[in-house]
Amino acid sequence: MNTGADTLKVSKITKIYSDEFGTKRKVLEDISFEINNSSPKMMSILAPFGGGKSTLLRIIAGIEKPSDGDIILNAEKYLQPNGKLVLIPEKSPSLPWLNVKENIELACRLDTCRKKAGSVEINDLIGMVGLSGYENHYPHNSSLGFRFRISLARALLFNPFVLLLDDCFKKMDAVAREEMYELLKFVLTKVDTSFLLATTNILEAVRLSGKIFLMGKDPGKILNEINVSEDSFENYSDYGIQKYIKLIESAYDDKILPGSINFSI
Amino acid sequence: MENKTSSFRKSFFYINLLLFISYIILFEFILPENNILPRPDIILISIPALLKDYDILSHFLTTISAVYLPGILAYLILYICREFVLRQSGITNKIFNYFSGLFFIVPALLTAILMIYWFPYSFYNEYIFSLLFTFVWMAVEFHSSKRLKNESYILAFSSMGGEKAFLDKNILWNELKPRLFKKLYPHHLHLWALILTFEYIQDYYGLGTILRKTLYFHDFSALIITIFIIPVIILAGFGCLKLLENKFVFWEAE
Repeated sequence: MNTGADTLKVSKITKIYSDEFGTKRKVLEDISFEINNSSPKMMSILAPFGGGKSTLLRIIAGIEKPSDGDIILNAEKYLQPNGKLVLIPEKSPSLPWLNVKENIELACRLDTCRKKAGSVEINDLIGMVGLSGYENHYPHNSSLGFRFRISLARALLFNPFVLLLDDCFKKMDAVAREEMYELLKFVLTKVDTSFLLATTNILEAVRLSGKIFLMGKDPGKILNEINVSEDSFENYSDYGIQKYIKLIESAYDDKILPGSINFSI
Repeated sequence: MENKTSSFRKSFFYINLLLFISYIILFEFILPENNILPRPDIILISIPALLKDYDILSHFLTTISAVYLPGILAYLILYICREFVLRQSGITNKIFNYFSGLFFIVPALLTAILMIYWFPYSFYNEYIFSLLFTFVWMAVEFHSSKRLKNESYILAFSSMGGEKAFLDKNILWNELKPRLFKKLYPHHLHLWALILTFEYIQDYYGLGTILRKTLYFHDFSALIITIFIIPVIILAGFGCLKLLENKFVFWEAE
């Protein structure tokens, strides 16, 4: 279980890519924020397409190196992925040649995983994500929602401090997306892990998150941090959602000053 | 769709049956002896001669084993060396590409001729050739399909602390397997053609040698039977490959 002292500090992250002709493009600029145990358990990075949110998540997960800045986990630089910050990419990968249980247990072979294949905890995780009875099912013809459940269970095997979700619901239909929101809501009550969702969907960000990091593009940088009232998931209304959407749109139009905004429906 | 396939199969069967009956009637009773097709009764008489004088069974087994045994061995070697093959980049990558060019653009046949020249009476010659050709082909295909890998698998397991060796061994091999299998079908045909040509030139063992002998002795009916047997075996080989694919590589590459 995570101790009470976990803190993730994203400190002045800048990322510059160079193409084969040497032309440089700044994708991320000076991104800083902090996630600790007092932060909401579900947060979002809301950015337009091409805003660099996937790059940011890869950098946070330790898979990609930033051009400048640091990822600091518990006062130490996070240089090598070790299962404390786990990423679920957009396509929610589940390996089609393995059944549900094998898909999850494959992660047990990693040195960073302390769980043993066949343990009770794995069965509990399978139950938590709603895959009980499907342990021997192969996911190669399954829906995106089914694959997401597998990816989620596998990621939670590590008890990560932050689970990074890279726009995982983008290609799902409306019904599947609602199911996944409900699943996330349920899982949040069961685990200590915080979730950081990168999304382009304002409604999704508002409904799911306690805090939204609003990102602009070219280069991607944090424009605002918006604190959403905790009960927005349960009691959201079209009126409240519209207020948020207007707020976010005005932030993009530079009508409000950068900083932190507290807002409730 | 299923109805269409089934009616196509039925029509195919009836057309073949009709052709077979027409052949018997035309070449047995109506047409005089000719060089287009032999008479059916002569074909029947030739079968014992093929079995006894030409020893077709042992030649048949030689060709079958020269095509499939090295194929299985090449697959196993690739499985063992998969991490090494996947790790190759830079100069080795160029060597891989050069090899693929040597084996497909400049025909592998030239290599076969050289091998026949070096070891003219070696029984294992064609096995070595087949193993070399299949392994190089598989390694090149496997290595070049690496660029089509699904990045999400790598990203997800990397963030959990998966090292490159773990990813290559547990994920990439299985991920690239369907691509390798899809390309196995044309390669199978290519290999059959090469092995038959190899045997024809070497004139030592195998169905290619039988073809050469039947031509040498002007044994028309034996030639026709051999020509009929070869595509049937190749089709059976395709069927076996399909069964293996359905059983072991049941997923699609994403």
